[in-house]
Amino acid sequence: MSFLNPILAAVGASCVAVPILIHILMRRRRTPIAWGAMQFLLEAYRRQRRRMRLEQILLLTARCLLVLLLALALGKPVLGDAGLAAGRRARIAFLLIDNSLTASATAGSASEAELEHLKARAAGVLAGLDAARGDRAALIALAGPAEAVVGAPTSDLSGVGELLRGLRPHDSRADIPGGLALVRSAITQATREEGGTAEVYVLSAWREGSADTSVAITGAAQGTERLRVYASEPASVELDNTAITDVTPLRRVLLTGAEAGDAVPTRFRVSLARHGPGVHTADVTTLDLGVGGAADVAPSRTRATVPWPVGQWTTSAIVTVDVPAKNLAAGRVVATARIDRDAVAGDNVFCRPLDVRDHLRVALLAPGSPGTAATLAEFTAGDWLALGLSPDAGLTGRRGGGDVRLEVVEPSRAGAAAGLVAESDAIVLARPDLLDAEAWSAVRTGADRGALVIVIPPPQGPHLWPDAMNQRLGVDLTLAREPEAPAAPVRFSAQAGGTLLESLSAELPDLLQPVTVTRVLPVSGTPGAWEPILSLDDGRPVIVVAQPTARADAPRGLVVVFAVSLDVAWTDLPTKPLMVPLLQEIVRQGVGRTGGSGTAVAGTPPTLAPAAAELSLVAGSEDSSPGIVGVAQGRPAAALRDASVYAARAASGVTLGLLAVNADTNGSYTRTRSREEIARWLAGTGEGVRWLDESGGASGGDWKARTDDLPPISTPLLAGALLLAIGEAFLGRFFSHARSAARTGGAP
Amino acid sequence: MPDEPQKPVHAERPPEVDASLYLHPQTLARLGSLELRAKMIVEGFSAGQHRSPYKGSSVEFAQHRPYVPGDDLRHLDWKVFARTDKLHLKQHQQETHLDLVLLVDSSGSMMYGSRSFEDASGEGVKASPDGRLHWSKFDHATALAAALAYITLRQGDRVGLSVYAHEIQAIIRRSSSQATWRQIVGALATHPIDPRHRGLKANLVRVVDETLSKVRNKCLVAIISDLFMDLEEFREALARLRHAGHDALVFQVLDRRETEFDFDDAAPFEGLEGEAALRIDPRAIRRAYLDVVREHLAGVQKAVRAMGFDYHQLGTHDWLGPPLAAFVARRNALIKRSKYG
Repeated sequence: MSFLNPILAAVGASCVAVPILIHILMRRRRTPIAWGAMQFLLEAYRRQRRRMRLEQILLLTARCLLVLLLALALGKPVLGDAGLAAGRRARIAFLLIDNSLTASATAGSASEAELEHLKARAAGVLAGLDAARGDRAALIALAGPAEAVVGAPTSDLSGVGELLRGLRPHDSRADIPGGLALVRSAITQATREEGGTAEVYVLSAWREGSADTSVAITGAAQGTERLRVYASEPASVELDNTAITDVTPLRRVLLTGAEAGDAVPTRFRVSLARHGPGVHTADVTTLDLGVGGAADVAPSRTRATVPWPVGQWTTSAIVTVDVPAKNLAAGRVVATARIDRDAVAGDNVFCRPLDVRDHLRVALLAPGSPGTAATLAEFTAGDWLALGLSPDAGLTGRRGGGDVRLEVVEPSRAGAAAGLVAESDAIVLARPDLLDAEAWSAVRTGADRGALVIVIPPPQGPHLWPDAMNQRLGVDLTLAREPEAPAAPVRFSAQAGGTLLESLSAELPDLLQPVTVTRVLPVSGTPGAWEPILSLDDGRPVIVVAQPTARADAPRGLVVVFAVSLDVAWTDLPTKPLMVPLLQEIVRQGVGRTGGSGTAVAGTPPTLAPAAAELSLVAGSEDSSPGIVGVAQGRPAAALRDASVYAARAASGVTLGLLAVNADTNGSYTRTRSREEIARWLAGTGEGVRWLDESGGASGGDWKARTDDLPPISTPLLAGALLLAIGEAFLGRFFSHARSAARTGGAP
Repeated sequence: MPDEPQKPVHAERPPEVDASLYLHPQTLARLGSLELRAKMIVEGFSAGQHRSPYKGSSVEFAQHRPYVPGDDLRHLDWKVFARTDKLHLKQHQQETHLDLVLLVDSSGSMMYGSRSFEDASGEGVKASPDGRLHWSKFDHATALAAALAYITLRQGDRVGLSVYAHEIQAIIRRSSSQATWRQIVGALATHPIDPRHRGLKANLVRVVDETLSKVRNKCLVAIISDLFMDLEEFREALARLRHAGHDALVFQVLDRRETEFDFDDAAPFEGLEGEAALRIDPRAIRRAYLDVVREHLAGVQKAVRAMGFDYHQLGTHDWLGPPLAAFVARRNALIKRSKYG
């Protein structure tokens, strides 16, 4: 038997002497009574001597035992190692260490990261295990996705300790539910096979970034007879932290075509967020944004200051960087934003890879010879599209010059030109009703490679082509078979949806104002499957973009669908100034979004090009990030938990694009959570949470944690003490003969 | 010579101590109008009211006293009633002689008393002359002895006194002179319990033997004691008195706490006669103690009555008057039944 409060138990046990001392002191203190009838008293005593002595011994024993029981109860005795070592079941300790982004938080530059405290506490738990008695330990790192460093509990405790010391913080968010799921599977194997007490130690600072209480925790105790969940105390100090949440170029693709000079001005929107007590004060963050490409060329840098008004915790700023053309020669560049180091260092850097193209290749699938119509009445959709995508062709007489290189393909021959179609950056379908299966297959191949697909309805119905589009391109759009014709031409709504036209946001209302629509194909479909880019005043969408994640078989590239035909009988859009910038922005933004380069959040698996076979580390520490990561079905084979830049390569070795992995800024929220919040959340494990001692040392805190869960016997002891007290009162009353003496009269 | 019962005793020249402490006026008021008569016919030097074997003795008028309820109507002086219309009794002196020998126990156990001296003395005296604050059994015994002596001397009978413990401590020879009263009171007052004899028990057999060696005539022996002694020894002492032809009155003086034992707190009890100290819980032993006391008292009464003597138990918390009056009245009834019946 051992005690949670050994000092209290010792002091209480020493109080057993109190009844004896009282007895002795009372004997000394009493004034003797001079008594005449001593001969009668002696005779009575002689008769009662045995009984009285027995009564006194019984009473004294009861009182001492009463004090002893109370002392033991106050000491919180547990049937632990000391008393029942032989019968003790083996302990299985699952150490769940939060090594996520918030675990790297430090209170100051000189202080240790919170992870070091958590590791020390875990080491204390390990020290309390005894491999000779069958104790085992498993180690799970909680940086998302949770990783079983030692999945199956092992008795090699020193080995576990070594791995524990080697743990370092990652840039991903804590995955506590995932860690508990790993525990669940390990528990069912370990405890069912060999029995024992499973103890789950969740060691975290429990900042908001680590504990996402909106994600439910499922029971970890299924199939186990004995399971205890221990948690470290939540951090009590909130820390000031500023994070770069996003860096987005206003143009996704840097074009170094004819218009580009010595330097390409590139604008970025940098988004920041801050947490902690500092939110309530005004502040300024200094931002350094650089764009680098070739290794031997210094990156172009720009410094900017971002002001923080009082109470504001998110902000964004537009920063322009003049990127020298020679720096773009590498074909891909990386924009890197940095801010000053604060509590969490991982979120002070954000990388954004950009594709650099000399020009964009656009395949226009349209019949005839677009761009050759002599009069306006002869203009078809193909003509308008050719004019809009390559407006200078008419002036320069060369369709292959400029930023957009247009290749016209006859729809009926698209299958034969599948290679050209599939390798285009954008595919524009001016007559989708004329595409055969081969043509659709070529379009699908291009979309899978990340090409933007723009679909324009033909001027004549019925419109049966949406069925083929939905099937071939994996989108979920329902367009009516026949157009609706409003009684009067309808104007566009001044509001644009999505971000494809973000660059035009300033001029868009003026450009939309003169445009009217006289026919439109009503669009419907599964909510969330598409998003309107432009709509009419009456709310009917005119241009929509299908969400690539709406269906499992959706292509990687975006699909933009017009609900109006580019025909003057439908709309005067082709004849208005909006036409050219609209098409140009859709193509340039759409291609950039589906290009080979992109970003990913640490701990979250990115979607890569289907042709990607591996990821090769370009920037980042090989100590923290794997140098080569295999890719299967567009997903990396290993979790990417650290900020780094990878090059996605095809099996042939060709680089498809860059992938920048950035810290999960959702995981760097430094606001603290209360014990109650954590306990409520962890209650989902099906077990009550016990808190590790704050001291958390190698002995005290861990010993307390171990013994706290053992069968508590304080309550039975208290009950026993109560019964004994009642018994003692009866005994005392009975033995003192108080009642019988009161009833008995004196001698005559 | 008869003294003046109407005068308060303490108005006389005081002995060594104030006699009123031992003979409270209230007690005398109840006893002064009663006569102490012997149970048995004793030898007297003059014929009198008592039925005496000595014939020819004259009856000498002593005094008149007011009638009190309970007096024998045959002694009313009708002539006085005819003249004054008041009831007076005509009293005669020394109708016969009664020798009363008082044996007062002064052993250690008689020192005990739970009653305050102030309460017992009735006169606001807080402490005894020797500084005690409690009224002991010995105090009560001496008061009773003084009362008996006083009444006896008022009748002209002779009174003697022995104060004893393991042996006789003080002795006053029998006499009917009024000076004897002062001697008796003086002896009772000046022979308290001797601390040097604290460890010694009363030896009644030895005392009776010494007393019997000093008297030739038949006496009434009044034993005033708590009788905390061996019952066999007590029986033997009574038997010797009976064998010598003496009558005996046994007054057993007890304290209320000795008969009730109403202690609550555990405390060591120290014997007054040299017994070893005993530390007990009095509540735990009370029942057994009372049984022992009850057995002893029953044994004492049985022994006294077996010898044909009279027994009376007195409590230190009781006034002497009522029990003495009841006792004397009962004795008178016995005498008359013997005389006229």
